Order: sequence, then C-alpha cells, then structure tokens
Amino acid sequence: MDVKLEKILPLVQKPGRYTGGELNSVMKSADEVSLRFAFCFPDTYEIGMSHLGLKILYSLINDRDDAWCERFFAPATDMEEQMREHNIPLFAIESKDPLTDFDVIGFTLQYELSFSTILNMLDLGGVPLLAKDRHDLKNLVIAGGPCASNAEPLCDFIDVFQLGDGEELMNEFLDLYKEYKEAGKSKEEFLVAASKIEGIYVPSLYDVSYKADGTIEAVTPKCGAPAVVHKRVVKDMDKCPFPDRFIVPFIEIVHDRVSAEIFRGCIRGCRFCQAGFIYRPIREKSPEVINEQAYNLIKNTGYDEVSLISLSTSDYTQIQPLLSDMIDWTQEKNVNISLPSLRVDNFSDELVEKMKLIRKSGLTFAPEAGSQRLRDAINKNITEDEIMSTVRIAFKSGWTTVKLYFMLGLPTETQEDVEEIINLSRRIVSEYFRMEDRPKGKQLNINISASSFVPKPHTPFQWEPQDTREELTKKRDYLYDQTRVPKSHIHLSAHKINTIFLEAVFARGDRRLGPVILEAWKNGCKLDSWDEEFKFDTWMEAFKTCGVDPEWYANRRRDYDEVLPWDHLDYGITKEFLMRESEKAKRSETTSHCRIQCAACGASALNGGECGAKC
Amino acid sequence: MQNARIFFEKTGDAKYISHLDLMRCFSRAITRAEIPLWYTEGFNPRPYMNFAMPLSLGMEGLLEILDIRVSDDNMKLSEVKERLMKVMPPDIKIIDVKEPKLKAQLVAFSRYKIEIMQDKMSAKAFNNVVFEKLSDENLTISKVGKQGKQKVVKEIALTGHIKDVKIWSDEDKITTILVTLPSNPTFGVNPSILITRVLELISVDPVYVHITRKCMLDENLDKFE
Repeated sequence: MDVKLEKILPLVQKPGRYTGGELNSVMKSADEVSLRFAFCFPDTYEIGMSHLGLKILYSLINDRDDAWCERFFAPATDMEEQMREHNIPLFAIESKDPLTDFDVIGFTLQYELSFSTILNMLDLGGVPLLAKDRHDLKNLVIAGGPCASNAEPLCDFIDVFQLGDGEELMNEFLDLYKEYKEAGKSKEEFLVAASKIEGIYVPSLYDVSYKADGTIEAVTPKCGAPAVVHKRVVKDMDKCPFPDRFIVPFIEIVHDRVSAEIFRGCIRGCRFCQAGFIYRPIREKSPEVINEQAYNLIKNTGYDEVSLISLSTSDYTQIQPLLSDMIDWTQEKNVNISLPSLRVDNFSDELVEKMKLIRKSGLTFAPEAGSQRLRDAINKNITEDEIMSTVRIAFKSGWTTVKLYFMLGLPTETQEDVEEIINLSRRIVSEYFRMEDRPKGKQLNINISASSFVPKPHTPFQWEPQDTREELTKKRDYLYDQTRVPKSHIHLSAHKINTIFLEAVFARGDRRLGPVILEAWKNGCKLDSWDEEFKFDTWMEAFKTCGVDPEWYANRRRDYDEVLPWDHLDYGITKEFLMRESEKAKRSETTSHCRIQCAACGASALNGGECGAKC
Repeated sequence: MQNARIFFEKTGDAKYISHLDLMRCFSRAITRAEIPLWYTEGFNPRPYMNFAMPLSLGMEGLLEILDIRVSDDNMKLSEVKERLMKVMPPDIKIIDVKEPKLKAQLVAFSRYKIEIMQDKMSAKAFNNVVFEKLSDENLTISKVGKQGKQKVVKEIALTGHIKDVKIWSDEDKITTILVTLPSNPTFGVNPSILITRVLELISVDPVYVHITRKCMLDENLDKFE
C-alpha cells in the first residue's frame, strides 16, 4: 500500500471503508486487461456497498477476461481532508490506483442529491469536471440508474448516459469502447458510434433551444443521433446475469445481507412513484431460479439473512411456492428471509404464518395518504378496511411496532387530508386497544414517517407543482402539534423540507442547472443527503449567482403541451397514458392494477410486446 | 464439544479491520466452512468465540489467536483447518488449528517488530538514541484511566517492562526494532503509544511506522500455545 495512504488511514474514522481486501472482491492485473472500469458510487462505502446494481455490474464486467471493474466511493469528510492535504487522488478500493488510470468512469445516479458528490469525486480523482474539457477517449465519464431518466442537469459533466437495464447494454457498450480504443479512434468518433446503440444517450449530440418564457423550444439531435432514445429492457429475467457471490464487507454496511431480486417492474401504478413506471414492464423470475440464486449467495458469503427484493414483494405471483422452497434450507442454516415492500391489500394470514417462521422484525406499511379520497387520487388502491385488517393480523400475530409511511403535499391535498393522517393513526391505536387478543405486556408504537412529495419525470404527476416550502412546513408542523401528545402511542419523524425542495428542482431540471451544480460544489456542497453536510444557503446562493430561479422548477405547474426536458428520453410509458392518469387523479379516480386490467401504458412495446402482467 | 485454537495471520489491508469487524468476519467464515459451533447456554445463545488480546487497529499480526468450540467431536482439527483455509478473505490467513494448551487469559507478553522510516538522521544515530530511550529508567507513557466517572491521564513508569530489545538497520533510514512488552488482560503496553512517546522525546517525525505482532508469549516468555 502507498506510504502516504498508510500514514493517513490511522487518522480517519473507519479505515475499513477504504482498504478493500474483502472476500469475493476481484483482483486482476492491470497489465493483463485491455479495459479498466471505475464503478463510482457517489456516496460513502456503507451506502454504496448496499446497492444491488453495483453488485450486478461488478460481477458482469469482471466476468469478462478483457476488463477489470473496481469500486470507488465518496470519502467521508475527515478522509477527504487528509487526502487533499497529502495530495492523494481518489483511488480504487481494489488496486488503490488513481481514477485517472481508468478507461471508463461510471457513476450510478440513485438520487438527485448525489449530483454535487459526483463533481467532488471527479475533482478528487484529478479528472476535469466538464465533458468538454476531457478530450481523450480515456477517462470517459458515463452514468446510469433511475436519475438518468432525466439526466439533463448533469449534461455538462457526463459524456454518456445508459438508460434502462444495464445487463446487456453494458457489455455492448464496452465492446464498442474496446474496439474504438484499440483502433485509436477519437472520443468524438466513439460518441457518435455509441449513440446508435439502443439505450445510449449522448447529451453532447443534442442542442436545446429555449422560448422567451424559459420553457424548452426544441431538442435537436445532431450527427445522426436518434431523436428519441429508448431505454434498454432485459427480456428474460431468468437468463439475466446475476452474481452468485457478493463482496462481504468487513465493516457493517446499511443493508448487511444478500439480496435476491424476484421481479422487475410494478403492476401498481401509484401515480407519484417513478420506480413504478420507469422499470416497466413487469418481468418475473421463476421461483426455482430465485431459490438457487439465494442459496448460492448464502453459501458463498456466510451471511445469515437474505432479502427478497422488488418494488412490491407481495405482488410476486409465486411468493408462496418460493417461500415454501426457501424455508426448507434457510431454517436448517439459521438464515432469515426478509420481505421488504409488502402491501396491505395482500398481506394474508398465510403470508403472516410464513413470516412468523422467519423472524419478528418491525412491520412497515405505506398508506401514503390519510384519507381514502387522496389515496384514490394517487392511485394507491388500498382501502381503510384493508389497512385495518392488516394491522389486526399484525397485532394478533404479536407485532406491536408498526411503521406507516405518509407523504405530505401530494397533488389535490387539502387540510382535511392532512388531518386524516392523524385520524387514521388514532383509529389504528383504538383498534389495538379494542382487540381482546392483542399482545400483552408490550408497548404499542405507531411510528409515522412523513416525507414530502417530489414530482418526478415519467409519472402522471410530472406536470404538478411541488407545494411551496412554506406550505409543507405548515403541514408538517400541524402533524408535530398533533402527535406531541403524551400516551398517544404515535411517533412522528419528518423529512427535511429544504432537501426535498432541492430534490424537486433537480428531478425536473434542465441543462441550465449544470452551472448551478458547479457553483454550489465550488462553494463546498457535497454529500447533500447527509444532514450534517447539507448547505442549503450555499445552494440558494449558487442559484442566485447563476441567475436561476429554483422555484420555477419546483413549484411551477407545467402545461401538457410544454416540451419537458426529458421528452426525448423514452422509458416506454406514453405521454397519452400519463395525461389520462393525471386527469383521473384530479377526479380522484383509481386505475386498476395491471393484472386486473391493462391500462395501456405502452411499456410492453420496448419488450417486443411482452408484459408479465398478462391480464 | 471440543476446544480449538485458531492461529491466524492478519496483514496487509486487513490490519485496518477492527476487533468487532474481525469477529463478524470469522463468524461468517466459519458459517461458509460449515463448521458446527458450540453455542453458549445463556438466555441469548451465541457461538463461543474469543480472541486472545485483540490487536490495535493498524497493526499487523503474524500469529493471532481465536478460540472457538466445535460442537462435533468427530470433526478433526486438521479438517477444521482445511475447511477454514478455503474460505478466508485474502489478507487473513489460517496458520494452524490446534488444541489449546493454556487458557487465553494466560497470555503474558507479546513480541513486536517495529519498523520506522525517518529522514532526520542516519539510521545508526537514530538506532542509538532510540535504544538509549528504551533503556531509560525514567521512561513513562501516558494512559487514560478512570477515577470514578472521570477520565484521568496517568503516567506509567516502564522500568522493567521493556524486554529483549534488538535494534538494527538493513538500509539507511529504515530501522527495525524487536521488543517484548507486557500484554495481558490486567496490564499491557501498546507499542504504538510507546514508540510515539520515544519519537516525541527525540523530536523525530517519521515517514512511517509499521508495527507487527510476531507472536504472543506466556509468563515464562515461551511461545503461547
């Protein structure tokens, strides 16, 4: 290890974040591969190592003999100070080589508040921040993940975006890169050729013009780039590459367990939920494949917990046979199965019976809104009866801590709707004390988490304004007033409104936000999702300096005929469908889930007309 | 149930793994190796695992000790060793698995190798002055102790506690020291604190200091087994 690094590691918190050497991490020789890939997660090690996408792409790229994929994370502030003081550039966890040694530098975009951290990591690595200042094919900066669905605020910094599922796309892209690298072609030549691959978006090949009112006039492709970029879709989840081993970190990470993906996409169509739309159409894995993958992961890691993950685990059609298969060997090996993302409308007695065999962890449900009217407007499609019957089952089975997720500021929300959050929580408390077979001798805890609604691209609410910060503060304070009552059994935790506001600005931002991110970073913004790092005033200063009004992005209602910054990025969902859903929301009308009736969202077109909902 | 003493090496990147993280690492390795562990019989059963005198963060160890109890009496310790060797992360290597001779609490001393690179003076001059300090009867180190609820810093005299010092240089600027220091549950001298104090006294800011524990010793200064 580098002497300079050795000197600073004893001085920082959790040096295990930076040293690597974990079981199942991949070491190769830099001289023996023709392509070095830097997988960059713009947050700390503990967060990044919990991300399934990293594990999938890490194993996918390292399965190639010609390539070596290594990991980069954002250093914590103490480490960054030491690195800058001792001139240590951002280095790979595996080889400790600096970022500039890498051919392709890939960032995953999981949330908008990581944008400034991307700049900080490039800077720490000694890579020029602006795409136009990087002239060589080497150090090509690419990005993918959910926020690539509106990548526009990052266009100044990123050379290439990958839209949709990365499993097939990444290999095609790397093959082309290798070919151009070996032929000694220029970055420009490569970018033009790459733009022809389905799912590749090269922002520099598009000109954006604006109208006098600030809205977009047109997005015009050049050099033969497609007018609309379609996201990539993996057709067969059973054949889709999935790692048989995960890296086993030494230090404790956020999700310290193995995860087995059970399906991609969602049948529900909750109107606020971006994931529910951009990962369509629904594609299930078969239970045999999942069972085998989960078994191998446990065997090769020694973890004692496997999480079955998807956007809505209880919607998996084969959940009962899968659990029956898994319970056999997990019980023998003392392995827990965790089932995140359960819904209240199919939380059955049978499922509870299986879960009781598994483990008694906390139960979390997401009614999202307190009143039936608002739940209908957002198409949550659950009734109060279903919520009540679920908590009754849960109480009867011995749970006394239930967490409920709500959102403030949903479109069409009134004061009555906010009051209903409290009323619903109180009705749950009364229900508990009415039950004769409730668990005895335990404290009842109804933990309500109130976040604020952020309108997201590719959803029916993409035209909606976010509530102003003043409105959100008023609503949140009302909830605090109502829950700070002794013996209410209700505990509230609320998200920070300033961060939610910034998230809304960038979620639906355009290319004019690039200079703002640069300015904010220059003034010290990074790791914005960490409360202790978040510098809201610096961000607001940056908007002012750049002459950009953040409220125009967050709090403005868009017309249906406005050209949206992401209109040229196609995630399969048609605009007509989103408009229909938006109108239904205004009338508080629901849309049935995809297995009851197809709502013609359009997503199957990118999958050769196939959709796993098969209604 | 049988007792097994695992001797292992913790070097390279793994020297930054804390005691708690090492515990988790071994627990997962033992699971991967499918070695049946004996569980404690308390209210909260947990597998019996005990490290003898855990290393400080940042030091390497060449013969560290972890005691476990294997519930299957028929599993040979050579088998335990074979299985474990296949599942360890790269920088934690299994050296041997044997039946323990002494209880882990009876570790009395540790033998350390301390490598120092400095560019203030010649290695020869440096070696002399370091040796002088280590032999100085007035040498003390500060230790944070507790007096009731208050934290207090105490100066501890080291007279008689520093044993078998060897010091030499193979090349200029790099000095190697071998030293034996007390390390048992009631009293220990941390070689990092010791060397930091010595370097302070002679006003040397080293380029680096590497500390490796070579092995643990019993009260007769014999290798601990």
